Formats: sequence, C-alpha cells, structure tokens
Amino acid sequence: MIRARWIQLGTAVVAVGALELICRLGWVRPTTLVPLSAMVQAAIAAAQDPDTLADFGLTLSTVAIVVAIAAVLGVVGGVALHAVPRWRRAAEPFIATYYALPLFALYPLLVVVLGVGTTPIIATGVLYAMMSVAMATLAGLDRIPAVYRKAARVNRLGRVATVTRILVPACAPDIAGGIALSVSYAFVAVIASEFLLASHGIGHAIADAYETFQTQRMYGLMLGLGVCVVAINLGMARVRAHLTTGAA
Amino acid sequence: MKRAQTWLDGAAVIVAILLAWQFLSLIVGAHVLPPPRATAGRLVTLVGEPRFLADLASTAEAYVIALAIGMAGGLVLGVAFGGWRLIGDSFEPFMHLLVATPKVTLYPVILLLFGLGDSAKIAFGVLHALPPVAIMTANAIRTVRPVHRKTALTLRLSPTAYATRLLVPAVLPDILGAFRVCFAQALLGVLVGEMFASTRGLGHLLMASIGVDDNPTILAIVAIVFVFAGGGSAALLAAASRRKS
Repeated sequence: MIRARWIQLGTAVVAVGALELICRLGWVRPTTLVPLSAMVQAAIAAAQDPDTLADFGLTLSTVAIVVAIAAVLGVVGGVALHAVPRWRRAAEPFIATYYALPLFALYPLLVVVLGVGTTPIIATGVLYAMMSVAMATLAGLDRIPAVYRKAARVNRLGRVATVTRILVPACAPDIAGGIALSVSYAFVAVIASEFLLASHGIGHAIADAYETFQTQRMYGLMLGLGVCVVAINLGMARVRAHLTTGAA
Repeated sequence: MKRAQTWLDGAAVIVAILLAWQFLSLIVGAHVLPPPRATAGRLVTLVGEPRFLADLASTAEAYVIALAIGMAGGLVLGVAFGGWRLIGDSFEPFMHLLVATPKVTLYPVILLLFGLGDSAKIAFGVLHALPPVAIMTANAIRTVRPVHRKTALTLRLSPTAYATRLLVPAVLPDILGAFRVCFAQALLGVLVGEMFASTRGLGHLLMASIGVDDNPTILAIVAIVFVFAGGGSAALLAAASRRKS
C-alpha cells in the first residue's frame, strides 16, 4: 500500500510537472490550457471576488435545498412503496432503470413549465437526488427485524407512530447513506443545469468564462469547484462506508 | 400467472404515468406541456423529417463510438486494476476521483482540446462511460472466489482455459451490470455534449427547440430518449438476472 501511495504521488507530480512544462514552453496556446500555477492564482483571485463568492454561495445553497427536499420526498416515497407491496412490485423495474434515464433531458421542459430561475434547477436536482434516498429507505425497511413491528403492535402504536417512532429511526443509517449519495447527484444536476441555462451560479460562471475567452479564470473556477465538490463527495462516500459497516 | 401479474402491474404504472402527464398538461396548459397524444403526433411528423433523421443518425453514431470506447477501455483498465494489486492500488483512486467530479464542468476543456465537432461529444461520452466500467470490472475480478482459482490450479488449467472457462463466466453478470451503467452514461455524456456545443444531434435539436419555444418537439425528443434508455436498461437488467439465476 505504501508503494502504491508513492506511485500515486509520483504520477500526480509528473502530471502536474508535465502540464506546467508544456504550458510554460509554449507548446500549447494559453487560450487552450494554462499551467497549474496560473489555475491556482485564478482560483485565489476568484475566491476574493464578491460576485464569484455569491455565485458559489448560490450553488451551495441550491444543492442544500435540493438535498433537503429529496430527503423528505425520498423517505416518504420509500415508506409508501414499502407499505404497499403491489405498488412496489410494479415500480421495481422503473426504480432499477431510473438512473439510466437521462433525467437531465427534462430540464428544458421544467424551464418551460416553471420558468427561468432557481425553481427548475431545484426540480431537476430533486428528480436526480430523490431516488437514491427512496432506494436506501426501501433497503433499510427490508432489513428491520420482525420483532420491531411486533413491539409496535404490542404497544398499540398507530400507523403513523409506527413509522415515525420505530421504522424510520430503525433504518436511519440506511437513510443517511442514501442522503449522502444524493448530495453527489444534487451537485451534478445543479451544476449541469446552471451550466446550460441559467444566469447565476458557479456553473454559469464557468460557462461564461469559457464563452468570453477568460481561459485562466475558467480553469481557476473549475479547480476551485472541483476541489470543493470532490472533497464533499469523497467525504460523503466515507460517511456512507462508515454507516454501512456500522449497520452491518 | 405470476408473469401475467407482473406485466399487468408494469402496464398499470405506464398508464399512471400517462394519466399524470395528461393531468399536468390540463393544469399548466397544452401550449406549455403538450399532452401525450399531441406528443405522439409530433413524434410521427418528426420521424418523417430528413433533418431530424440526420440529427438522430449523428447522435446514434457518436453514441455507438463512445459506448464501444468506454466499454472496451473500461474493461482493459478494470482487468489491469483488478488483476494486479499494485496497479489497482496506485491508479484506481484516480478513477474514483473522476467519478466524483461533476463532469459537465470539464466540457470546456474537452472542447478546447478536441475542438467543436463530433470528436468532442464522443470524448465527453467516453469520459462519462469509462470510469464506472473500470471500477466495476476491477471489483468483479477482485471478488472472484478463491476456490475458483484453486480449482483451476488443481485441474492444471492453462491461463487461457482459466480465463475462458472460469474467470469470464464468473464475472459476466457484473460485466453486464457495468455495461448497463456504460449504456446510460455514454448516452448522457453524448446528449449533454450536444446540448452545450454542437451543430448536429438530438441534444442540439433539443436546445434549438428551447430557443424557439417548440415544446411539442422538446417532449417528443425527451420521449424518444427515455424510451430508448429505459428499454435498453430494462433489457440488460433482464439479461443480467437470467445469467445470475
């Protein structure tokens, strides 16, 4: 493993060095590619620009809203499907192929129905993020021991109380895992929507820098966003791994 | 009997989706959201238009190439990652990094490197499709049960016989799973690539239709893409579950 770490480090250093070299030697045009040092400079400059920070804040807050809505809808949907086995059986093939659908193609339609602004972006994000929570909820409910339901009956809990006091808390680790996964779906959908048809947000800022030939700023923004999103996604993956091993 | 029930339930879900669509169309207005019937009508006229057929052919061509490169490249990398531990430990994390990145932000880089045209959207499709195949193949190879390897040793199978008689059948269901992901991701990559910067293809037609508020065409294209992606994925899923059982 230590040897592998060294190889990883070596590969990264060689790649960065090669990038720096071919850019500094003028082998590629500065409108095509800029060296990493220039990207870092541009990222720092962008971090000091209030407008860019506002765009970044907007993207992050949109993702947060998407995840919150997706979590609620996903849990409710998962519990409902689990409660009616026939619905679940019917929906199962659709659930299995859900992430194969290019849901993103619906975004233009949502713009037409909901108007330009944050609403269609949130709707696209929720469409993407919701199903991972619903699937996790279903998986969690499947694993609940029968004795829990018996305990609920013995204590004469109503349907709602059984769900809110016993079933949902019992599969909380699974639901949390689903929500962690939904964060990465939310990022993909929100940034892609901003990129294509929006007037604000970090996705739009990158597209704008590309269209106005500000190559260095474009790479700087990409670097900043990339580092941030990859860190969040890898963190969430770790949370998920921790929860699944903890639950097993 | 059970099979008939499954079909019936599936049909019920499709009818429910169509009814919901019709209902939504009534609420927001047919000019904003054309109902299923109008969309089907537009679909029929669209199929008769030579421009649409050219766009469809352009998307199909880019998609098939992206799918082939993504699948073949992913398999080769996956075998290397799964077969040799040092290679896997060293380079697989880079693939995970690529999967975790929202790839749409990388599109300008692809455009700058490949230029405007078909190669950029193919590259974008490959960028979406290849990493998951590599990771899933590597996992499939790593999880081959040790008893299989021991049996091959006991029977003194040649490396070729081991690969064709044991390894391939053992990992095939997972490879089919990887292919399903590749199938969807390549389509997504090519379509988004066309939406952002292309002069041909269904993605471009989608953006052009948005520009002129041609909602029936938008819906007709979305319907084609959904039926193709959903149908293909369901068929692959069925093939994989038959293999497993």
